[in-house]
Amino acid sequence: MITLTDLRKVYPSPDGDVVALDGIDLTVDRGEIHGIVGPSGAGKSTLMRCLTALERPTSGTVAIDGVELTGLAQRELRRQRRRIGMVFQHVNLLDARTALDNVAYPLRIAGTPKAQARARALELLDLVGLADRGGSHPAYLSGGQQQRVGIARALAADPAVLLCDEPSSALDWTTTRQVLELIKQVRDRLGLTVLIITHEMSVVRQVCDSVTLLSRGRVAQHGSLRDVVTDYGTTLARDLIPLAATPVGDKRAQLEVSFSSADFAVADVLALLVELNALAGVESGTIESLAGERVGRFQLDLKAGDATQVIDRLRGFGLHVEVTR
Amino acid sequence: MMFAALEINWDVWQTLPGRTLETLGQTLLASLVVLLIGLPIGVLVHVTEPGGLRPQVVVHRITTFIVNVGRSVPFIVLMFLLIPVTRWIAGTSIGWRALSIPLAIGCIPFFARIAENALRGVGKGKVEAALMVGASRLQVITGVLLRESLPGLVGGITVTEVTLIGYSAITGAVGGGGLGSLAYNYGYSRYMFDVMIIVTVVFFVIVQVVQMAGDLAARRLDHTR
Ligand SMILES: Nc1ncnc2c1ncn2[C@@H]1O[C@H](COP(=O)(O)OP(=O)(O)OP(=O)(O)O)[C@@H](O)[C@H]1O
Ligand SMILES: [Mg+2]
Repeated sequence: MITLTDLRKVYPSPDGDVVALDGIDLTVDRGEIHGIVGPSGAGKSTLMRCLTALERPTSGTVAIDGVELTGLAQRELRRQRRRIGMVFQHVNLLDARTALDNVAYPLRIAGTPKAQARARALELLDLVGLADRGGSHPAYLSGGQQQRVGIARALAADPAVLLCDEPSSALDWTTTRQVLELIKQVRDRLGLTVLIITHEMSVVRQVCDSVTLLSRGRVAQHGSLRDVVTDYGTTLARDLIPLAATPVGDKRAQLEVSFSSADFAVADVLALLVELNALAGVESGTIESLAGERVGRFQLDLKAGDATQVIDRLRGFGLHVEVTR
Repeated sequence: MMFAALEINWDVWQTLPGRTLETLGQTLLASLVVLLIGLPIGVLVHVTEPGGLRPQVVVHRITTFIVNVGRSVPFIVLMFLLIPVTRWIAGTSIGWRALSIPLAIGCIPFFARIAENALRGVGKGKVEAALMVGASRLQVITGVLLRESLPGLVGGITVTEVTLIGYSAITGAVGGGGLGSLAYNYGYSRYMFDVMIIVTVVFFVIVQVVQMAGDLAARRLDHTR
């Protein structure tokens, strides 16, 4: 559905070239919600700009729904862009137009008659739960409402793909949840492929089916959510199941235990930890519901005896164990 | 300068309505030209800048240069400088119609700069959003850049209008007619203090009306407040 092959983007700069994307290969299947995460400067925005052909890649190809965007002429590119709906971090609604006209705008651009475009826009506003606010200008809508209008606009031209660049980072927690729920609901109903760029792992946890970790312009980790979280010890597994920070300067030996309910009943794992409590106490722990499983991580603090006894017992049970200190 | 005791020169006052109309006519004529030429120049400067909608370094440099040169020549100098041009276009270099030519030319760079500033206020994200739904560059210019900056443009037009009215008075001193010629020929040259006062009052009223109408229009068009 979305296919990137050996995508490279190099920005020339006075102090030498900046390699923003360094050979990205990525496939996102139809109907999937895919998250792209990575530290600041990893190349997330650059990747998004290449996907929309707002930026031309230095080399490599971008294909959406089998149509290669790289190398298309302007006119054809404009036509293809209508197949991509884009949701922006700062929403980017047109202030001079009402919510309804903002949603109708892509259709007007495509040459749909005004009445027809408005009728369709009203349907979409209804889909995002704002049918009664069509006459309001963006300035009079809340941030969450504005983003809903943004999503409705992105859907106006019946796109096959929805690209979201930090769609919720300007919103509070509850509004974020509503917006993400809407994106999921839209995917379920319209069968779109969705790509979400985000720096918040909670967004990935809440809506994504699969995820890619970018790091310095390369794919550092990639896979379905279920696979990456059970790839214990990797960056994504740790970031998706975060542990609360423990006090610094603590010198005692520590162990980290990870497991998924796909392999063990949560209660059995907890029972084992209780059993080992005399030797190693739980310092901090997290259990997250993810991709239909419960995935947990515990940090244990060695109290007495030597570590091997505890480690052997945990490993014997089949848990993933790491010595962190 | 010395004024005689305040007496009313009725014969001069009678020419006031006609002169006012000349001033208004001259300003209006020049405004149209300023808008028609200044706005496209402003758009051109804006869209051709690096990172703009249609980056064109050479065109950008040339237009910016012309605008800057135009703005750096004092109006009174420009007016004398443009006498041959005025004569060539209008066939004469006096009268309110003829002098609306240097008036317009003097204000085009001024307004182009103001328009460019207003356009600059339209967020890049809005342009990208429009491009993403398949808008052409022309559609972006009309539907996003101009439309979104309309309140700012109207504010700019108001400022330009007030400037034009002020400059139009200057043309009156060199044969451009209008209220400026009353102030110069009677108020200044013949020490008619009453004429000076009434001209000042009329200018004040005109500028007030323009400013109020402009503010009202800008407020009506601004949907962000
Ligand atoms: N127009 C540009 N010119 C030069 N360098 C650029 C340009 N755009 C991005 N870069 C560089 O490319 C790299 C990747 O930037 P990008 O904006 O894609 O990162 P990001 O992952 O989106 O980061 P953030 O999370 O902070 O938004 C950075 O090193 C950045 O400095
Ligand atoms: Mg970014």
